[in-house]
Amino acid sequence: MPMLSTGRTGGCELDTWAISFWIATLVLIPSGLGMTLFAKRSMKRVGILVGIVGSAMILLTTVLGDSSSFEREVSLTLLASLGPSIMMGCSTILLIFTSDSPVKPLPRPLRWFGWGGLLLGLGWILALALFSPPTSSGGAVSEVWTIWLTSFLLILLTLGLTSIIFLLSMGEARYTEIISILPLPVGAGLMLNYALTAGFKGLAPEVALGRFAEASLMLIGTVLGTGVALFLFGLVLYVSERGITQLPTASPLTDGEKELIRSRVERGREIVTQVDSTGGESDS
Amino acid sequence: MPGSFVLMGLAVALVGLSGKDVGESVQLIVESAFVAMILSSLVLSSFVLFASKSHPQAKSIITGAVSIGLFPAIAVIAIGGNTVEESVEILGHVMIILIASIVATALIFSLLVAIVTDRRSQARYLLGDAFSADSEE
Repeated sequence: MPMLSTGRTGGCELDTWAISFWIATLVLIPSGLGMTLFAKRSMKRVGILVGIVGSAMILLTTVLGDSSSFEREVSLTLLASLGPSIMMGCSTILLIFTSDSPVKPLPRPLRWFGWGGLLLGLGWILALALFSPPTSSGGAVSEVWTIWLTSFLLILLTLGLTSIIFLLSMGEARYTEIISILPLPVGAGLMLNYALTAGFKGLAPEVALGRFAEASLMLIGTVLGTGVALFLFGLVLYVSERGITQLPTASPLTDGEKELIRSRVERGREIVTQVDSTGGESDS
Repeated sequence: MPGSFVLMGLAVALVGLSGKDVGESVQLIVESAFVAMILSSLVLSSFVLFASKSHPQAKSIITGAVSIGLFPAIAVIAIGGNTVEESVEILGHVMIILIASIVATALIFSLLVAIVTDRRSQARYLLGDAFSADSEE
């Protein structure tokens, strides 16, 4: 594969597969998603096509790209996390639509499949961590995978516990919800504890601890950065909405239009008087 | 305010755990924050590009969304002093963290929606039964 120099001193050389990977992840997939979700109907098909091309480019990087490249590690982690994520997503959709949903409720017994799928998705992640985590070219457990796992478990733990505290503050009426959510943060906490004390496959506890700390620091930065970006975007929307002073006013009526309206009003009056006179005769 | 104190406490504890010195850890947090801003801006810009075409202020919204990512990008290049390889690595790590966070957040919130919808439907049934019992009486 030909190498393209980045032209920066002390930098690296990105091969074309790496460049195609970043074009796919940073340009094609976000714009494909944007087109599919928000564009007009004719553009939606283009959006789906762009998304498929982007996914294909990521897959090609995994299969044909340099086996020791960082991009391959990222795409392997994305592929490894795709299955459990889809499974858990489908399960929660099943859970939503097996309740008394206003849109075509599904049969109630399928609810158990929803709960089962949710736990299976978590179990899938645990099985990946225990038995066959994505590895880098040297055979060591991929650092990118460790970061994905740590972030996923930390967010699950934090948000799960936060929502439980919120539900607790609402009193006894919300105990059923608490019991339903509890398995997620408890499972995440147990997995994190196992990773940091016993270690997962190919990942000694002391290495896991260092990676956990580093990933958590990056997670703090990411949460801060995303929060600031969303706040600024809200500010941009607010300022631009304020910029719209008033709706464009309609132009004044021309003489012809005035004449037309006057004639229609006159004709309407005539009809009303005619109806009144005929109605008056029939009444009498 | 209490949230920021908790975050600072967490950060200090994690700096101790990671074995890095304070300067390196702060640089890691700041770089991750900037890269997260760049990625969020990319996603928001691509959404805004197709969503707000008919909006009277579409151009200024798109410019705003792009500039949210542009300034951190300049800051990362100017201040960071990283090689391209290191920058790409941080970009990949932050992207993976964002994806993992979105998956976990969506999971928790959709589960909450599922449970609350079900509880409301049960309450509606109970209420319906109570009304029918009243009307029979």
